Amino acid sequence: MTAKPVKKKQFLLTKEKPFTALQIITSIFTALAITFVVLALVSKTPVKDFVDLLTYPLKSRFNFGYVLVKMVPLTFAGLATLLYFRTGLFNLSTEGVFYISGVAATAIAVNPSILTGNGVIDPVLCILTAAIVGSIIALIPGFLKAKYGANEMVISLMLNSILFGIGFWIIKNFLAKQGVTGQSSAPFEASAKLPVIIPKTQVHVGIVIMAVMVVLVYILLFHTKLGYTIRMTGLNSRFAKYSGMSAFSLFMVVHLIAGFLGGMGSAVELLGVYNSFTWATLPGLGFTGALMAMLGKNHPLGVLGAAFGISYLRASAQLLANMSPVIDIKLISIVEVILTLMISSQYFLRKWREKQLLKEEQEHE
Amino acid sequence: MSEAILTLENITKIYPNGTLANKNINIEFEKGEIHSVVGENGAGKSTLMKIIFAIEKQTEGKIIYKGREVSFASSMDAIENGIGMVHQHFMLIPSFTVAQNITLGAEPKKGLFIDKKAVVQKTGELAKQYHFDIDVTSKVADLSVSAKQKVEILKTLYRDAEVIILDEPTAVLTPQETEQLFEQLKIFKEMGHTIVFISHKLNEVKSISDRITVIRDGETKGTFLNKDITMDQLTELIVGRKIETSYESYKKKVKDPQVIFKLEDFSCKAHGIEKVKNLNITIRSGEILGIAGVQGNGQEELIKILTGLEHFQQGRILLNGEAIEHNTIHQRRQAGMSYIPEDRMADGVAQAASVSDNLISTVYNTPELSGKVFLKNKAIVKETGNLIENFSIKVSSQKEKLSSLSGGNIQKVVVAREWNTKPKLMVAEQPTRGIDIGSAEYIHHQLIEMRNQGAGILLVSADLTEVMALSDRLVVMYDGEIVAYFDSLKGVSENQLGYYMLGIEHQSEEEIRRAAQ
Repeated sequence: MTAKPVKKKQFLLTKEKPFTALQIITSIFTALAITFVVLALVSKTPVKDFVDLLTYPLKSRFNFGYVLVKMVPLTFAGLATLLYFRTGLFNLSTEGVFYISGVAATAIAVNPSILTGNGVIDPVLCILTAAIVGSIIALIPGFLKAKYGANEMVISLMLNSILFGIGFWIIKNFLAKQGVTGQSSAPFEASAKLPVIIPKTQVHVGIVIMAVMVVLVYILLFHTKLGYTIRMTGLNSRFAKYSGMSAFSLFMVVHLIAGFLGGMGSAVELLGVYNSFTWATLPGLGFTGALMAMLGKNHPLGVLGAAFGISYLRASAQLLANMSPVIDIKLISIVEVILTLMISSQYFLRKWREKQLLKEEQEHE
Repeated sequence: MSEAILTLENITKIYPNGTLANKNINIEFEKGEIHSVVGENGAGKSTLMKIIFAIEKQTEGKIIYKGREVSFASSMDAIENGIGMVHQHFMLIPSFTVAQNITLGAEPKKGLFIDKKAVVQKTGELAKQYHFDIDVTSKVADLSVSAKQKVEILKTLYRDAEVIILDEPTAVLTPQETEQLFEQLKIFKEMGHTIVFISHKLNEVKSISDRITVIRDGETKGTFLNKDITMDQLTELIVGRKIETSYESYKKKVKDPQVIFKLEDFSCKAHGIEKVKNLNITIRSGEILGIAGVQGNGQEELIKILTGLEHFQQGRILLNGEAIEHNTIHQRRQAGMSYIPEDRMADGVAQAASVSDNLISTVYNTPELSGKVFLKNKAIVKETGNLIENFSIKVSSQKEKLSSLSGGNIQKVVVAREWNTKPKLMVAEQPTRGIDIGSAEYIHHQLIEMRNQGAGILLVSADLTEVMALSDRLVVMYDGEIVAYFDSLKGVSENQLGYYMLGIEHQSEEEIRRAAQ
């Protein structure tokens, strides 16, 4: 075995990981600073508003719980999308999968003849149904990509519209309360709902399922053969092919798993937060998943962090929106956009790093 | 002493991954000289030229051109100021004629339209003026490699280049073509052009240069008048030791050699053009069969198909007596084939992955390294540790990103991984192109070692010195065909091979058929 002399490790900002951390922290500060500037332009009390925005979720148990509730669907969508991105697929079908799987979960959740009335079995039944539907739907772009090399982004975006159309039609015609016209389904049966686990908040058992999924995706990526092929294919598909890995089966499996996660996330969100299916447009959660994957640098724990951060601000803005004339959820879009731009930009701070490296080199001599 | 046209002052370049490619480089190029920049692969020559040509930006230092400090915004800017570069990889449009390629982007105009007559006339005159024997109306796709290079040079001359940078121009040429190129360069010099000649082939550098600058590890080791320095002194400045030219003494006879690999009547087409015609080759255990030839004579297509990267077309491919032409890459590897690819960055590695990930890509699903679902991470750490030690790959840790390694070490990663599957047939395509001499020598020894252990090796290389030093038997490919076969390299000279590589000479059918025996 190798017995190399262990070099004393020095903490250097120019090293890979600290540099990434530095990039992210700088990006967050810049994004917040710009938010402050915007607030200063529109608000009479910008400092108070800004402080409120940053601290309001910490002010009560309910508020913080609200943050946790909001991060659940974002994390699920983020995990599904990061699997695509890691494989080198720019697939955005999680949006449509969220919608149609939600419809599937609803179909079970409003139907007392299928449900057992047991508070454990019923949610599991709904979630599994949604997840399986999600898997099957995700296989459509998966198969077209694997077999015919069709561009997964174009297909997934078109698929989203189609799925929305089909889903909305099903809700209106088959799952709505009889005699009521409107855009929502009949109410979910009580036994299908996910129970709240922290009193005085909305935090439901879905957050536990989410945590388990984060761990499972982490294990999948870094400790399994499948994860290894996912990573290698994503980093260099020619290398993966050259090494003898089969792209066809890999693409199919990845779509299957990502669809499963998306469907699951959708059902968890619906049964945890909603009383009936009320999505009259695409909920936007799948697209936010792409944002989470990018902000989290395609790492499950990164996605978790990104989902928490964004949910924190979104929750804060939503809660404050009732009281403040200027704070609105749209304000948070500014932060999201700036963060995405800066974190996904390869060149951000690179010049600085080069200079630092040069300095280190010169000191070395 | 004549005036300096281009001066580099304290040029330093550091890449974002921390590689220090150039360190305080100072060179003065004089008007009307042939100035060679020599150094090992990876010494920093190419980076330096990219800086001059504004493809890369220096981290520190100045470029002074015609007495003025310059900072070209782009290569276009450099071209407009009279600096031309002929790249190793040609940048031509195959479906255009020679004249169209030369004038592209700077065509003579008649009103709004391109003056087609003037295009042909002007380029024709230009070719005549510089004594180029080339038909400007022929299509570039139909030209030989050396003719394409001429087009590249004419392109720079058409744009009034005063300084012409030639990046390893002879790498793609036969000895005869090289000589012709040198005659041409001398004409340019007489007409007042400055030639910057980048090479790592010392005999060529000695025969053509006025002055020579040596670069080692990104630093200049001095500029010398050609007549003041001997070959040995140059070698020592470049590597610090003597280079081996033959590995004969390391080769061992293998007992009872078996036929490992056979190609029978192998042919293939690409875009309707026949690339390889009726190839018949046999390789036995414990021998290295070399394929020599100028690049682009069908070698690439042959290797792509036989390793499974491209679809099979015609003939038979037999590994250990079994037909493998319809097998997947995975099945071919299982059957004992290993492959060192020509384009190691594109095919051979995942740059953003760790060294460890790169070392296990062909063995991760063996029972030693993984179960049904999970990877055995402990075993992987041990396995990669062994490989790193055995192949003396310089890394700070197994988890280090591959892209932070030097070219030589990256190639060692590829070779170590391919060796690790204990191949029966090793396909080595340009195994040492672009890497430092130390690593190249190391890899040569590893190939010989595999040969001595009983593997059959198919070696494809455009580097004549390499194929001649390693091969037991040798075929020469020209225009998709075998034009010569040698069952021993004793007494065969580079020049002799050159004639076959150019297609000037052709052995008889019987002689060539012996390659399949």
